[in-house]
Amino acid sequence: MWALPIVGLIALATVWVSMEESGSGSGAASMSRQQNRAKDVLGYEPEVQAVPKAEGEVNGISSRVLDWMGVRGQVTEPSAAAHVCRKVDPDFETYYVVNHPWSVFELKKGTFDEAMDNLRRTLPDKGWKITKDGPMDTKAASPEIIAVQPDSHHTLTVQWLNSGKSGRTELISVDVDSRCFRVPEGTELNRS
Amino acid sequence: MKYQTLAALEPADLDKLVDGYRAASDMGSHAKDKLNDKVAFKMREYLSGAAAQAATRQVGKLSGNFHYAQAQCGLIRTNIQFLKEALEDARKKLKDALASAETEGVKVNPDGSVTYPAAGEKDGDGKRPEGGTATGKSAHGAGLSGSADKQLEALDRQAKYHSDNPKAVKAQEIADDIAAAVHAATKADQTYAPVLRRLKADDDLNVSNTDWADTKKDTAASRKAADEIGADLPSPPKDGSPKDNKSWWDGLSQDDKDSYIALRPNAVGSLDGLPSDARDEANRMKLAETKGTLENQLSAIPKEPEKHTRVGDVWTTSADWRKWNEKYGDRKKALNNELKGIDAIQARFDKSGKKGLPQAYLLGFDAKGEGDGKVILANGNPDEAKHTVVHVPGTTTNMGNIGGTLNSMDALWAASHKAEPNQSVSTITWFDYDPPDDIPQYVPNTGNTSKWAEDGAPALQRFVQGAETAQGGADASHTTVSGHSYGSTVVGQATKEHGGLPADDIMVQGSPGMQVKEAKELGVGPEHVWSVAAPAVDDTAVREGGRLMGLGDSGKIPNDPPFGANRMDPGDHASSLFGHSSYWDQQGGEPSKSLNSMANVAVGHYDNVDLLVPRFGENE
Repeated sequence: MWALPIVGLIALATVWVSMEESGSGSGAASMSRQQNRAKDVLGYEPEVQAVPKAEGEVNGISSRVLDWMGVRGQVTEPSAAAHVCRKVDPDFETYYVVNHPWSVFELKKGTFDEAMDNLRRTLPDKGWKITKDGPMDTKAASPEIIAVQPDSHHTLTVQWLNSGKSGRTELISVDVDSRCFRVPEGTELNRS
Repeated sequence: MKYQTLAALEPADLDKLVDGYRAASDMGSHAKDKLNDKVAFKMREYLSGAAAQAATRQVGKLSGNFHYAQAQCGLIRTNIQFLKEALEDARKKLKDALASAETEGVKVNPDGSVTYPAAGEKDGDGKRPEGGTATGKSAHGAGLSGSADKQLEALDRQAKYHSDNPKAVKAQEIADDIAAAVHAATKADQTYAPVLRRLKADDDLNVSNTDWADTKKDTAASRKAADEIGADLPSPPKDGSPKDNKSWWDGLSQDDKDSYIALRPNAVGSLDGLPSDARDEANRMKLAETKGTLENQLSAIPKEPEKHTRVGDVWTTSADWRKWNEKYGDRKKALNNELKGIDAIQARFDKSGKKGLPQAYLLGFDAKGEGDGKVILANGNPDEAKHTVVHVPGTTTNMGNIGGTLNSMDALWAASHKAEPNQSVSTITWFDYDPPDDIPQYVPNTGNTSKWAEDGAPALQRFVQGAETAQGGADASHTTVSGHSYGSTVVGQATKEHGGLPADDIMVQGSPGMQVKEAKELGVGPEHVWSVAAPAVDDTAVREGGRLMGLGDSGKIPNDPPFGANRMDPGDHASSLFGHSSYWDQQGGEPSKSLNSMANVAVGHYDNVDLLVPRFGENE
């Protein structure tokens, strides 16, 4: 009795996917068709933006966030990178998001506590809206601040982890994430 | 070859050549590594813009040239080495024969025959046994190995015993030995002359697809030559465990290791238990050769004719196109699909150093594999990793879409590194089984729905054992085995193999069933089993489909509370229709809860994992 609805769903999904695929191609008409569909799915029309520029913006936010923390310590090396915007382009060809996961640890100046407090104070001054400030939904219940930039729609997730845990690195984990963008015509997303 | 030529030969002279080519091959290897790991790595890290990109591409091309030089010089070194060893053997045999001739007082003639004098004393008849000349048996090209020859030889010797002259027997033995030595030397010479001749590269600077495709043929020819002359290259233990493989490898000299990689890159590349460096070296060789071969095959396919033609006032499919399509359509599609996978692997290599990603190690590669291809790729050196994730992708995975899984493992590496920056992490994509091509393929009446898992499980077990062996034992690294979709079924099946799966944690995403009733049967303890499922139509279809088809024992699948796994919060990153593949995505301006939770499992920070709160009335 499970089979019928499931097979039905798969069939529906397959039809939907093939409709999606038929929308691909190049040229202005197909671009506006894709953009309309993206808007339907995402609730906003993705901005056309070159990958290095979108990544640069996120890297910029990350370094400002580190400044606002007012501490000095080691920071992980990876920088912001484009990833799949799966809701509209699972094949990672035309649409992308930018993510920057990083953390600060081994503090030389300041404390983690101060860093969190500094962010609480500074973020609203810098135009960010704090949407959550409280314990995480985990056994450790570590402190977490989530904020959004209403104009650029970037989000910021800050978690103070591993406090008082031996054998682990105490750190502040940061995720800066963008909404979906569209590459300019002629860009190869998988190679950027 | 005359025996004097062999006697005058100094095979040790070839050492200089062997040394020269070894140095050239090493230089190619070092230059390539330096360009990849240092120059291009740093260029991608610090430079951006069109000029920098073009420059990095040129560096990549140069590194490709050094790679080719390394491969070719490595083959030449191996071949000369084996030729030298064969000539040395032959020469030693000859020297021994000449020494016996001296002792016995017989004379060796320029043609290799041996003349013995008349015996000194008269026999019963009052005659002196006459002298004579013995001719070696293999000098006329007669094989020494055939049993018929052996018999003849024995008869011959018997006849000689009846000769009255005792020197006759000795002379015949010496002549045979000389002939055998000359024969062996001639055979080595004749075997290697064409092999070495074909290893002459064209003298342009462009290493083409054909050059790499030829390298594959050169390797096969060199391998055949080594077999023909019975070169002394120790084989890996037959059906050896990863531990056996490792101790065999550790016992080889550097020259033997190099020869093995040069002659049998396929074997070295897929041998579990070997160091990741050696496997990577061999598989990159295989990747370059395969790409060259496939590109050549693709360009040999004639151009696709115009598909549509207008007959009267209707458009129809043209006869030319139909004929073309029947003959080449499928082949072209398959080639493009395989090349897409190779491009995805190359794209990952090119990302090393860029945006902080670590070096990639290709631990397994085959364009066909078990059917849909084989790609085992590690982010970061697993042999040195404190935390290792081995991830098995699921249904519909093939060469053409492997890039998606590689990207997910990049994301998991970055999130894990963020979670524990002081301990090295390696995230490995393990795609070495034939997954079902689509969901309906495991509808009940198609037969054994766990067939793909049963076929894949032993290889997964061996790979994880091999990783552990190369790392230096079970305690060297904290290992998480991860399975997405049908990949989780393979993981579950592997825990049921004899000896189980040497994992510390097991985590699954969108699992349709793991062939076991409960988490505690997986052998790592239920507190180390982690499951996440997306509240999306496609994910539900996969999971419930699996339940229906019996991939879970007693109708239980990992995300059921009674299964007893830790259930992770998927977050709300997934859309309501499609979420089955988005566990690693941080998208739409929100970090992925499931990615950060999986990263914390990977580095063993369990209390940072976001678990689902049981719903009212639900069993924990």
